[in-house]
Amino acid sequence: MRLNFDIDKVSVTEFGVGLDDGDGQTFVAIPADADVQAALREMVASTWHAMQRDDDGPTEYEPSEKHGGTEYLYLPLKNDLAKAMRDLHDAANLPVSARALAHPAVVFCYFARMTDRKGRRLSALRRAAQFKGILKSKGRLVRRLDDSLRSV
Amino acid sequence: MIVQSHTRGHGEGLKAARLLMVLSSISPLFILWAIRGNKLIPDRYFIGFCGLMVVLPNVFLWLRIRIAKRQQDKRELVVGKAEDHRDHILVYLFAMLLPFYSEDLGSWRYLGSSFAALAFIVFLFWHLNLHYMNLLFAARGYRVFTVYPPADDNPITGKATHALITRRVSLASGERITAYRLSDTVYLEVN
Repeated sequence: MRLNFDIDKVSVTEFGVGLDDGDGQTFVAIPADADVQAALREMVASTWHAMQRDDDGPTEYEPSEKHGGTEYLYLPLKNDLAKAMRDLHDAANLPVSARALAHPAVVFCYFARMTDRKGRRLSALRRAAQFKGILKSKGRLVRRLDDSLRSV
Repeated sequence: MIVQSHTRGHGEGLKAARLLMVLSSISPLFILWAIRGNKLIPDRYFIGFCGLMVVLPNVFLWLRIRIAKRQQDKRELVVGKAEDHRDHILVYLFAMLLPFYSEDLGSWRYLGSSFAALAFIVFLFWHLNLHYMNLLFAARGYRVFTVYPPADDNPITGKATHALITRRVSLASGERITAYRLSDTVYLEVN
């Protein structure tokens, strides 16, 4: 499968989280500094390269099938199950909140949305459990005086 | 699954930055006051104070733009509808700068009331997110557009309007603009 996106020439990297406080799910962008943005691009690139190494190629996701923790799957955009991801990818002008990580318990996912120099866009999303793992293993993401997140 | 646009508890960030940007926007008034002088306060103190009120906020504004550029604090704004608000500068000029300039500062009472009125204006500009009203931007050929989000049926699309400072003369619906974030609602287009 060929990725119609140039990971080496990204012009905009947007970081954000999905929040679920019991009344519904919301998505907000969080200002992130250049290092965090570079780390996100690195994660996307390494994920893509790992997927390329899979000789069998992607298989379609089947909700009735039992899948492993890490598998290379795809879901057609027209599939109803892809609606949430499609909405996130297409959403314009997401609200910005530097305080969105103040209550990590309500964070259910985190995501990155990127635009390359040709205007092509890529969205990547992970479950919050993995994000919380990063928080624990790498220390913390803290707010700078300029309110963007930085990794420490 | 209920998905909705995030609006609850969404406060505009960078409060101190916005306050200094408001002070930057009223800095021309301090230039006028410094030229006019004041008979209650010796020139060296009054002009020094006015000079500080001109230099500090503008240095901060420059610093904020520099930090945003260094941190790549930029994002894509999608234009739903855009309104050119050059008239805001005129309103700002005639409703604020000129009345304050013509204020009599000849007694401590008048001086105190002028500063109190100015404090109200600063608070309103800060509270209403009018911190982009800056003659420096206008002098450098920038325009300020109010950008409304596209009216799509996507439940995640933001509902807030943004102020975009740009050298463009018009913005078309559907255009994607890459801009540095000066505050959560004010953006400066990347050239």
